Amino acid sequence: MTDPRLWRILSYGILAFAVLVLIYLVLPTLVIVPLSFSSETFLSFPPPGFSLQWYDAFAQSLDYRIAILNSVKIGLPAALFATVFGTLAALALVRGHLPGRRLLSALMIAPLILPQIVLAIGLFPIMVKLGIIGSYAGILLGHTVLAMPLVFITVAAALKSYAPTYELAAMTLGANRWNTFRFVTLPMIKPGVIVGFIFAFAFSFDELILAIFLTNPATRTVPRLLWEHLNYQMTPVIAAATVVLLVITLSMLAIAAVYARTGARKPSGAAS
Amino acid sequence: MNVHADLTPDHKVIAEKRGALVEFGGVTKTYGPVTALRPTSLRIEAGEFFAIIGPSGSGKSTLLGITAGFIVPSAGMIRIDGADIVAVPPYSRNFGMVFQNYALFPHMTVAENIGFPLRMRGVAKAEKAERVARALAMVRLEGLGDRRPSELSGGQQQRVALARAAVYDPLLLLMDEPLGALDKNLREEMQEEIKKFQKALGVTVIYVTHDQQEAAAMADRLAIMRNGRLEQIGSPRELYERPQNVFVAGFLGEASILPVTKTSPLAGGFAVAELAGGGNVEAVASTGVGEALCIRPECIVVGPDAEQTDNVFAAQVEEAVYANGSVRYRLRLDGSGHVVNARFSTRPDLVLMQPGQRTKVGWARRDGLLIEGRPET
Ligand SMILES: Nc1ncnc2c1ncn2[C@@H]1O[C@H](COP(=O)(O)OP(=O)(O)OP(=O)(O)O)[C@@H](O)[C@H]1O
Ligand SMILES: [Mg+2]
Repeated sequence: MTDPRLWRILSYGILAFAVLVLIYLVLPTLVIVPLSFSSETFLSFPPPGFSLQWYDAFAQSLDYRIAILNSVKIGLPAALFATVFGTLAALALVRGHLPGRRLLSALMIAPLILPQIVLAIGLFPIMVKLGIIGSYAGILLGHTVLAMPLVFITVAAALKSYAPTYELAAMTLGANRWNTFRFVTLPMIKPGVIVGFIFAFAFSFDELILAIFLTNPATRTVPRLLWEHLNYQMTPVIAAATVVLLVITLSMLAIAAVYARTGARKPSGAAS
Repeated sequence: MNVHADLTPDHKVIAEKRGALVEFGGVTKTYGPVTALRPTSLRIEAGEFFAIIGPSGSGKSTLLGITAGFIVPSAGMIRIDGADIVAVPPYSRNFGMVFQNYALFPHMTVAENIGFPLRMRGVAKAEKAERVARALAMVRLEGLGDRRPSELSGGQQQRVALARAAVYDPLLLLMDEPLGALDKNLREEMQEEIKKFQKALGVTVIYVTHDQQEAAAMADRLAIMRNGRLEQIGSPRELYERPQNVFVAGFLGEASILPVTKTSPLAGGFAVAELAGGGNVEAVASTGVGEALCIRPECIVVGPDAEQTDNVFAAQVEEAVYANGSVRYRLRLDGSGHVVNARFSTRPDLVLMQPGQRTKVGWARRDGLLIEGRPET
């Protein structure tokens, strides 16, 4: 066991395995990229020739334009609401003295763990009853609920990364609760809030199941449109649209990663 | 901070008396079944430097937190210059507080940190800049205003925390182990600085520390705390020379504390006590009937001179430790087997005793104190 050669071989083996897992995770997602440049009129792999015609078709498509607009119209406010409520919940549950904080924290992230179809089936009749099925308000509510845990998790982690002494200090220095939040807490948790917002928006931008249940052809989002197209017209325009979606999502996650990094710089003398 | 600069005549009267008179009346804090602070009453004079020492978990930070306002007492009142402040939120109390880890805001520069309390008070920009500059000068950090706290040394951060807590001229400064994170030399230097600073401002200070020497060196009066209770309050000298119980005696310095079984009074405030395990001693009956005898190490005479004292015992040296011009002996008394500690300064020609050597120890009866409580071990 202590043979260094054996250890070397073992560590190479582990590295190779890790690389394989990564390839397995990423490669299927990337298969879509060559497909989108296909010269063929249906989805086939490998594509017979190169062309940009599907990106052109995508750019010309009124359906896609409306869907992208819808996705943004739903995603931005949903991310905003999720950020506000998720941050407030994290403040209450991490810094507050509520009884049953553990249980409440578990409830907060429940929507993330429960199958989305359950929530969708539950929301559908309620929204029908409220008369907001198919409207922006309906899908906005649904996405806010589902995106809130993402913000809750990132902000709670940011709050736990430093001792509450900073807030106590601010108060003794004359800052009331609002000023303490504005000038001390918020700047300290800012990376967590921004990363949470990006996650929330990326989530809404990609979400399909609730979109199927809660939107109608006028309010449908990009994922729903893609899904509908997949059902009856298998042209590479889907691939082109998917690649655009992929690029948008990946760049948002990259921004989030950069912010999470700057936030990871520990303040001096954090916890006591 | 700016006490002596640009005061108008009416301000001079206030400047005479900058510190607040602080009175605690039956202040108590319980957390469910845990009592963090037993009913505590205490009066701290205006301009006084008051230190609180005690072991970990004894309730020091709780008392300070209640004073600062971020811990709500379960009962009791706190009066500042006669007015009850229990219902006043921390941000309206106008006290300064220095935390052990300084709690400097990492996202603000040094100048922004010091300016923060002024900003919260709506002080105009120009005046703010001026007062921050003066505060920086006072703690000798001119030119470092644009740095981030993380770019400063521990001692510099400590100074910034002090400047920030004092820049708005609070009447009361609370410090919770402000020097705990510094090394010994820097700590001593900062002790002097804080003391000078306090004298210049005339501010009342409540200072919590683990370090008894620090407390004794800085405080006008100090309190020793245990299990949420103030065991004894007094000047550093009073507490050292006239401890009321075994805990206080053992906490300060390295007293010899011996158990006694029986005491009978003598004339003039003295008593005869029988040591557990045998032997009689004469001592001061300071707090009535006590169960323990306390003798300070510098009062114990070792060697032939001991024969001249009131209480003489034959003993064996167990340990001899030399440090910087003084020597400390651990001696075991014959018969009763109790251990006493002696300490005195040495001269270069003095021959030290070795462990195992036999000798005589003794002390004057006025140097032995009969105190309350049962010695440990
Ligand atoms: N929020 C709390 N809930 C329950 N018990 C608490 C709480 N805060 C403090 N205590 C208890 O109250 C007691 C006093 O705590 P405190 O922080 O005042 O001690 P301290 O003297 O400052 O100790 P240290 O020297 O370690 O800082 C301790 O036994 C502690 O466990
Ligand atoms: Mg403490």
